[in-house]
Formats: sequence, C-alpha cells, structure tokens
Amino acid sequence: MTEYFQIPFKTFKISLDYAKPSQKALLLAKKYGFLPYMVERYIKMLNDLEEVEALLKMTGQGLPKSIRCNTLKINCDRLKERLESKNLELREISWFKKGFYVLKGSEKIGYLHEYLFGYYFIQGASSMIPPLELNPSPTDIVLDMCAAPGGKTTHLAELMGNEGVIVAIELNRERMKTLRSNISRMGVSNTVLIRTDARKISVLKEKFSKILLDAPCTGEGLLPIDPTRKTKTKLEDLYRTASRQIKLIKAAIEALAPGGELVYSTCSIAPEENEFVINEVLNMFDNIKLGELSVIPSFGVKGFTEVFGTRLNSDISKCYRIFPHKHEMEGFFICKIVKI
Amino acid sequence: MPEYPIFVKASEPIVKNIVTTLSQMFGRENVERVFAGKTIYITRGVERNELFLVSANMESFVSKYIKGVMKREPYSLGLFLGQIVKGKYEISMDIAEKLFIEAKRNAIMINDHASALFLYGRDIMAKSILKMYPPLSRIVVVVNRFEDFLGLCKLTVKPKELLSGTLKGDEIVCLNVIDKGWFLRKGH
Repeated sequence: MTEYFQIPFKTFKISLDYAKPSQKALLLAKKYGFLPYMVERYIKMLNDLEEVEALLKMTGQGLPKSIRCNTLKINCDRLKERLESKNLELREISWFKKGFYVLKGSEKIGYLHEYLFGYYFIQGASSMIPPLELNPSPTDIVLDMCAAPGGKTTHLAELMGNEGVIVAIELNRERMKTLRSNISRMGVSNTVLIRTDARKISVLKEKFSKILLDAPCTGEGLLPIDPTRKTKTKLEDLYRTASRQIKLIKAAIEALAPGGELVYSTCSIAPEENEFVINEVLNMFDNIKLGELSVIPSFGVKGFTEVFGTRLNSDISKCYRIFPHKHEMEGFFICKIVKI
Repeated sequence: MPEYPIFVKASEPIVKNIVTTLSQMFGRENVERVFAGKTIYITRGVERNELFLVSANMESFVSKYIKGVMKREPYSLGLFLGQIVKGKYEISMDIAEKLFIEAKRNAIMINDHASALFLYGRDIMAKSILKMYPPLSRIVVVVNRFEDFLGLCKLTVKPKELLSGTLKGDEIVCLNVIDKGWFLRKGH
C-alpha cells in the first residue's frame, strides 16, 4: 500500500501493508457493507473469523440504553423505585451500582420528570468507566479536556461530592451550551467551563492532579448504534484523528502535576487511536508510566502489545478495551498514565 | 461590546441586593450557610449580567491560572445564581433548589396533574395546591408531592390570602416564572 498521507507516529515504524485487504476481508466487507481495510484489521486484531463475524453482525443492532444515577440529587434505590413505578425495567450494571441498563421503556428516558430533575444522566455503560478509573477526590484539581455533553464531567463532580475544582474544556459553541445545561440540571457546582482548544491547556504546566482525556475519535466502537461507521472512516482519516489525539495527550501530560494521573479514553476500538497513541507518548516522555486500572480489568480485554506487525511497549497490556460483540457495550479503550 | 463576558467580583451593593432578596425568601441563616466561604462573581461587557457563586479554591485557580496564565475568561463557573435584569436580581433555579432543600420554606406543593402542566410552562390554580411552606414571598418555589423542585412561580395574590384558603379553586394564583421543562425546551 502506498503511503500517501502522513503517519503521526514518529518514534516507531509502521508498515501500512497491514491494512491491505485479503481475499477473506474483501468477501466479508462485501457481505456486511464495510470498508475492506477495516475488516482486514479486525481479522488481524481478533485472530478468529467467528469473532470477526460476530463483531460485523452487531453493526446497527443497537445496545441496551443505560443511565447513571446522580447521587448529588437522589438515592439510587429511590430512583430505581420511581422509574419502575413508571413501567421502566432496570437492571443494575454488574460492575457499577449507580448504573442501570434500561431493558424496558427506554424510549421514555429522555423526557421523564426524573430526567428534568437531574436525577440521572443518559450515557453508554462504557462511558461510566473513565471517571471511575480516574477516581478523583474532593481535594483534587481535575481537568476534563473534551467535556461536552457532560456525562463524564458530572460523574467526576459526583465522585468529588461537588467539592474541589473541575476545569471542563469544550471548543464547540453549541456543545458548550449543552454542557452548561447538563451541569445545571445535574446540580453540579464545582466546575469552571472554558471554551477553548484543549491543546492550549499545556500552558498550565503541572497544575492538575487528575486529568480525563476522553479524546475525539473516529467512533469505531459505536458500530452497534451507528451503522454509518462501516464506511465513514478511511485509513487516512484514522491517522488524522490519531495525530490530533497525540497533540491532545501531549498537552495533557504537560498539564499534569508530578504524581498525578491521566485517564485516556476513546470510544474507538482502533489500535491506531489507542495503543499506537499510548506507545508514542511512552517513547516521547521519560517522566510517565502506565498505571493499573481497577474497574475494567474484571471484564475488559487487555491492550495489544503487538498488533498489525508492530511490537509495542509491553506495559500497554495495562490498558483495556471493550469490544461491542463481547461486552454488549459501545467499544471503548481506556488507559491510565501516571506522571513520575 | 466584546463577544465574551468578563468575570469580576460583584460589587458590595449587588452582593447586598442578592443576599437580602434570598434571605427574604429562604431565611438569612440558610443563605449564610450556603454562601459561607464563597464569593459572588458577575459577568461584565455583555448584555446579560449573570451571577455565579464561587468557592475559594475555584476563585484562586481561576484568577491565578485561567485569567493570569491562560489569559482566558471562563464560560461559566461555580453555581449559577441568576442574573441582573434592568437593575433587578432574577433568581436562578439552581440556587432556589439548593436553598429550598436547606430551608423548606417559601414554597408550594402542587398535585400531580398541575405538576405535569407546570413543567410545560402553565400557571397554577388555587385548587392544585396541596401544601404550603410559609413564610411565602412574591416569588415562590414549586414542588410536587415528592418535594421534587419543579421551578418558580410568581404569586398573583397576597401570601396571606393564599394561606387563608378562601380563594376560588379555579383562580390562577401563581404565574409560571421558570420550570424544569426549560431544560428540554431551551436550555442554557
């Protein structure tokens, strides 16, 4: 494959031949309507054709909706009781007591009174993991780098008991309005919202004890809920996104205080946006290491340390991935970086 | 007029105005408890003067680093207290809800049917009121039978008349000022 765009990884070599589709990939891509290079990557990532087909088949099948109870405003048992009295059927998320799958009545969850009162936030189960892994305390100064619409920001505020400070950044004007509304609806009062490019935060060197970077991504983990992702992202788009992610994570590392923790997450299953990005910054900075995660290891899949013919830092096995076909959640990747 | 507001500490008369208004509604003790150790900020340079309650930690971080190093103004910060319109303080739902939880006063509880209508912007009839939390001001908190905060309304009758229970059932006694349906209809 000809290299006709810039690869953003400067510290290790990648041969783009890995994305050249095989005969099998071409057949599966045609059958399920995917771009062939994507299927080729899934074949190499999963190393099991049955699994690959399971992943491809899940596209557009939907996922159970989920909500996060807001303990800043209500007791979760009480919320469950109230929603069940309105004929909703809820099932607690096994690894998070304040999260619930909505098995019946999910079409109503966006306009129930309890929603208006800020008693819950509608968000994918996977999105509840990054704040739990960051686990901020009421004394932390936290940075949330790409904050809108505020699911993770309001979750961080709840974990901090509305104390400490969260600096929440969002560039887009309309998304900022949504963020502000959600902050208000959820009763959050410990945030400073700033409308700027998150990369500019690097001027605040070593000022944050905890940082959440839920980076803008291709959304390759959203296949079950958004079938347009089958053909939306070309390989060059993937690498362009990775380039932006590297810039963001570099800014985050610069803003992180020594001893501080940074949780990097994406709603993508693509190694190019995840393991490759982490590998790049591990090679670039000698004052960081990967930290242990505490929630996701009980059900997630370890990060790749060798993928697409590229050997990566062995510590990347400390990062974890959610696959939609395995976990019935949006695909996700999470990694914790600790500044030494 | 600049595109972005500038956040400055509210002047003494403005602080006094806000604290007095809120104290009349929810009691001075409750207001002092919620406001303890915090500073009121106001936006300048734009049409609407919005007010925010800011903790000491946040104030120090914003002044040293966001304004000082980044040379940026926040988009919003802390707890939204409301705004000054034509020199008059308009209370926000955010602070009213917080103070009602503390004070349990200056509120009316309405029935389920009226609650649903109120969240669509409708006014309140005398017969919809299940309970009152005196003393009442001109602007009162509206809650449902679970004491969920629904919004704020403006009494069209004197609080004394309302408390006497002599009003006609169909009479509109409180006009919707703002309700939580706003989050679906408009938002910030």
